[in-house]
Amino acid sequence: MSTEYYQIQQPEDLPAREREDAMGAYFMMFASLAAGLPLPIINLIAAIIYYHVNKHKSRFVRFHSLQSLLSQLPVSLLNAGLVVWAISFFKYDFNFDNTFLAYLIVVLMANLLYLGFSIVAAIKARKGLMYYFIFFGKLSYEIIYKIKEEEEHIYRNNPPI
Amino acid sequence: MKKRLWRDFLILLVLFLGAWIFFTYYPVVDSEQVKITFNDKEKEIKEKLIELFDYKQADSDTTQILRALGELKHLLSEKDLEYELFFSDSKEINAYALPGNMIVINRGIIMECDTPEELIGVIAHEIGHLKMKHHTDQLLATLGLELLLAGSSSTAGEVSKILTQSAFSREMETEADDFAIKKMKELNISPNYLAKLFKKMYKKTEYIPEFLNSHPGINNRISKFSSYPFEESSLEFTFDWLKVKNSL
Ligand SMILES: [Zn+2]
Repeated sequence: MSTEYYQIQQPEDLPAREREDAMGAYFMMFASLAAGLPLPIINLIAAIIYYHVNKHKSRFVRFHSLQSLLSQLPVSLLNAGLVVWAISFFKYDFNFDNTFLAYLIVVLMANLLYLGFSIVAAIKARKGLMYYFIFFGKLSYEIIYKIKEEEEHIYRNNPPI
Repeated sequence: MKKRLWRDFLILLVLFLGAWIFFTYYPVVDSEQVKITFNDKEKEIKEKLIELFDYKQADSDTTQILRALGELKHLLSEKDLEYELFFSDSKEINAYALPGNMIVINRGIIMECDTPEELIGVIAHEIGHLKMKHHTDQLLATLGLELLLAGSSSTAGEVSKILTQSAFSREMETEADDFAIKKMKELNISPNYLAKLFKKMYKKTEYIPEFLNSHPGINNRISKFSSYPFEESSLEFTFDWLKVKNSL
């Protein structure tokens, strides 16, 4: 049995309001990422709230919200790791080494990549286009667009036309 | 689809770990270099502190107190530790050991000392902190940040807050006390002199100075120093302690 997917909306089917909501998902994440820098809990909560607020909107909005939410998870985790690691220096000793500095660089790069791709995605979303990040794009598509078994059942039980 | 998800995930993981390992072995900034820069900061911080609080270096011949402190410093010299002793014109009853091998003695604590022997005990305790390297770089980092961020009068308050609040652990205080006892014995000064000072300070504790801080329990410390019988020290000084105090 092959899995079925909901059809992807085309730009001309998407009202401006929805495109803006989709774009907003990315911009909201930057803001919350910056606000929650020391403690990723804040931005994660904000991200989850935004996702839930948009839950009843179209799949296009939900897709972009989820992709934005999922892609910031690892970035937040990396940032949190950096903060914890840095604090450990203050607690104990400043014996930081190249492993730490390399981690710092990689985390910076991850943040920049996240930022860059999110900006591109936001612009695309504003135009009513899909944009798939590596991994997170596929995962979000899978979650949002895949037709689930139960849903199909309900769908099949439609009254006769 | 599932397969491709896993493939993507692995690509990301490999990229992340690969970049981490790469930069570890081909560092953009070498950690040794960063540490050296950091140590240079220590000097800078020292100079800024001296300027900010107008610390006066013992040994200089300008005032009675600085001469007297210089004499005490020589008495307490250590082969393997070069430290600098400073006088601070602050009424707060306190003395600090600071990163960069600085010891600062406030006017307040000098006024509490009825004899120079008591002050020797205080200095010996602070030397103990320096000798055992009790200063984590944490204090240095906090101080450095504070001093670098701003340069005005508002900094002075913040910095002195950091200094007074930076407490050593119970073990560290015990070590510093033990060092002070050892040092005092070497100089034929009864450690009981410090017990006397502690008792005087204990009566007026609106706040708890660094070396009387609550961690090891003040009473424990007093009884530790009191356990040594009091004997009048026979040390001779070139200054008259009362005159020195009156000059402040
Ligand atoms: Zn102490």
